[in-house]
Amino acid sequence: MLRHASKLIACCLALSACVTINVYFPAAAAEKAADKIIDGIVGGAAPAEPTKREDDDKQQGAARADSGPQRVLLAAAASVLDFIVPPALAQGQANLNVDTPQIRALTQSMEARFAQMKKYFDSGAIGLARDGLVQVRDQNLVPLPERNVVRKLIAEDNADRSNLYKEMAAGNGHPEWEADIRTTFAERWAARAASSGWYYQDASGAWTKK
Amino acid sequence: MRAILFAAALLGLGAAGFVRAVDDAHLSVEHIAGDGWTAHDIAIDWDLPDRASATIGKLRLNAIAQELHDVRIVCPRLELSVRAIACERARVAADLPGLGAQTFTARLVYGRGDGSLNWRVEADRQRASVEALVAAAKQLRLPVPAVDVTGSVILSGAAAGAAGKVHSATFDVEVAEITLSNAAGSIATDKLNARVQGTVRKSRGDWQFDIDVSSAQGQVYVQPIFLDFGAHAMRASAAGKLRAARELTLERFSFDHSQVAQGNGRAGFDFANEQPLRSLTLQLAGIEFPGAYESYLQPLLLDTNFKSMQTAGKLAGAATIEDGAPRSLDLTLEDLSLDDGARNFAIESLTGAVHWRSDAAAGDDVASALSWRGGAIFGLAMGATELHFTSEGRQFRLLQPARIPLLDGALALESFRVRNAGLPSVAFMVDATLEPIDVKRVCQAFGWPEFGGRVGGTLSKLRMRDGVVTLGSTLRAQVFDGDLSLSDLQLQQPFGKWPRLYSNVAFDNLDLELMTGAFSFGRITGKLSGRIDGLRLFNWTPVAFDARLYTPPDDRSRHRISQRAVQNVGSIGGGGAGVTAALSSGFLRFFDDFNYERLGISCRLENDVCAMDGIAPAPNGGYYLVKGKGLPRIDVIGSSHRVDWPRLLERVIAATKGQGPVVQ
Repeated sequence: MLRHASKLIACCLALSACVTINVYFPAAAAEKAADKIIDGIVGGAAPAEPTKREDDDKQQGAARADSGPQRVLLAAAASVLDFIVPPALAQGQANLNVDTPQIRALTQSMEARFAQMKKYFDSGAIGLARDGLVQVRDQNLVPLPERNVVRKLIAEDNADRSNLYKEMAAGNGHPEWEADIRTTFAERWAARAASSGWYYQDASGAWTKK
Repeated sequence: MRAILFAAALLGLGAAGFVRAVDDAHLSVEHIAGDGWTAHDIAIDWDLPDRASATIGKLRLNAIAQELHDVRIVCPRLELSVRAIACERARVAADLPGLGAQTFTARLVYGRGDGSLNWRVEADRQRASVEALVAAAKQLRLPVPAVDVTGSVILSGAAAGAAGKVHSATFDVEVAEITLSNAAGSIATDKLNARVQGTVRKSRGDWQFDIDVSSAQGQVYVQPIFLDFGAHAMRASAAGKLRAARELTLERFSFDHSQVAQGNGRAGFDFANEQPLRSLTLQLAGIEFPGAYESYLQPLLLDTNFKSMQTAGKLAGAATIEDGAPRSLDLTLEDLSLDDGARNFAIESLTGAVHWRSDAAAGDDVASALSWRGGAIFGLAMGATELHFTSEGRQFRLLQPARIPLLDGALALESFRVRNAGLPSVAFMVDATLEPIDVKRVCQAFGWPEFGGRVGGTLSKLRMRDGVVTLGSTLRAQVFDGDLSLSDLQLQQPFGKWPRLYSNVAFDNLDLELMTGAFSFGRITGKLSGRIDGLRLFNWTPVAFDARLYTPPDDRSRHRISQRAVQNVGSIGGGGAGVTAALSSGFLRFFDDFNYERLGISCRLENDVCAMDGIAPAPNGGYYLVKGKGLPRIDVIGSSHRVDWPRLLERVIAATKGQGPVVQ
């Protein structure tokens, strides 16, 4: 009887492990998606530096799991389940879909606004924050009558950005990915800022410019 | 240190003892000290009887950080008495820290008994650069904010004091081309010209002041307020006192921002308090829009959905704050118009009086009344209305039923209450009836394909939490002779740029003949029932749903479908070309319409893909959209299980525009 129970527990563990693996955030796919969206918004500017984490997709099964013996166990569970339920796992590794009406509407809105914001990025008055939003960096670079215009543009753009992260997570069936998507965008915007001579916040929150 | 009246004694001796014996005298004094000051290396030349000049090698005033060197004082007429040595119009030349060499006229009184040094200086259109004044202010250990500033100042006035301390001053300052900014850029001016006149006086530790400021040129930004005095001149005055550098009382203040706002009142501040504005009585008059919106309201509304409104009209009012908390607000609105430009929210000619109290005192009449001539909400045209209500604390209550005309119908409000306004726990309690509205006009407003019918129903259990509006009751519409119900309505960010709507829709026994007629889809007779579960609109466009439409099983009405309708249904199912070919060749082309047993379609929309199915599976993996009956019998069989939604919409719209289906 006890042996049966322990088998059941093991099965449950394996199943819960399966769930965990299944919802791994596809980091590399998200980076590609973010770059594509940023390209669209910035409008055919020079592409950002190539992503260095191309092998991420292959690694992510293990990479994001806990280290130590548990990691081996999870990997083993994953491979067993791979055998039993390959379609489900395949779905877990799917690319991020960025072509939903919501995302299109949001990126079009951001693209239209970017034309007005570009000069402030160029001057260094505003920069790309590490939370995936836009922030005022040095208001003194903006003529007085334009200061509230800039604040308004930032408020609107940040509303679009937050909606975009939310819709990308929800549109791919994983609302819990919102924070990861936001982080990915923050990183890719920073890379874009670096190649465009704009300011961005480094990991400590300090403004940097390449 | 107690004053040693060495020099004074010598001078006194001189006055008494050497009468007419000599014409002049020279004195050297090593050191004199008085209350708050010390002087070293003093040389005095005295032209008898009363002309004197003195050079002070080093003068240290306790109030000034840096000591002054080579201060020259020339006195045309020295007044000597038992108690004091005074000079009415002394010329003082000194190299003042930050300001450089300065010459001014002063009245100096040296107390022979106590060593006090009282002075009064006058300036007549004395020019200085602001940079120098800032440096001087730092020397005077005045709290100078950390700002970069350029500009010039012309100063006229007089100041009186003792040693290094000012007791009173009268000034008339013209500042020109002042451009300043702090490090954060939250406070800045650009080429500001202003005139500041006033008096300050110290009495028993308090500073009394009466100041008048006016400007008609230059710009000021004090985040988030931007004012362009060139466009709207500003004049402001205030009188009051500052106690212990933390309690500021404005016994009266007034401002006149030309064509924007005028106001006056009293205020009390305590800068040691977290909320420094402790009391306020404010009368506002002549607040004019759009000036007041652009200058004062818009910057405060940047994080809300009311940040880009077109405004017009006038406002007057009064507000009071007691013990740091708002007590009352009274506003009189005159033809105020607001328009967000997107027809999400617009109101025309808002007129009336609003009275808000933090709590209703006995006998206080706090009834408010507002009326408007028209407007729009969510794109729906709104008619003239009058609202009577009370607002007290965080509560709002409608005093009598109101009817808000909406398109050709109306929203009849029986009761409306708001509790905890402005808090996350805000609750609406609405009891209202939606008097039937023409569905066609709703469709127009939302840019949907138009169809006839009327929508109405009761609105109750309307709640709002965290920006999400939910409706607990079901909205019912009568369309195409059938019934349609909208339940579980949820609206997110209703006034935002990206409104999201969720609902479950059910319909019963719609008359297909009316429906296909309305859409010029090709005639179909019979009934249609079904549901749309999980309908999600993003920015009023459907992005997801699970729809099933079908002929109700108990339908006894006549079931006929025309040639064109068959083609259109076929094209939706992906078999357009085949259907058209089948219909236009052979004997079928001689029939205008056909009998059918039942029809139906299901579509689950997600990510722009419609997973489509019919009423029953058909051979070869297809599905029946229309199952024929009798002779000539026609079945419409769909083949695509995944249909591109935007293309499907295009096809349906093309079909309903009166043309045949697009055949490729």
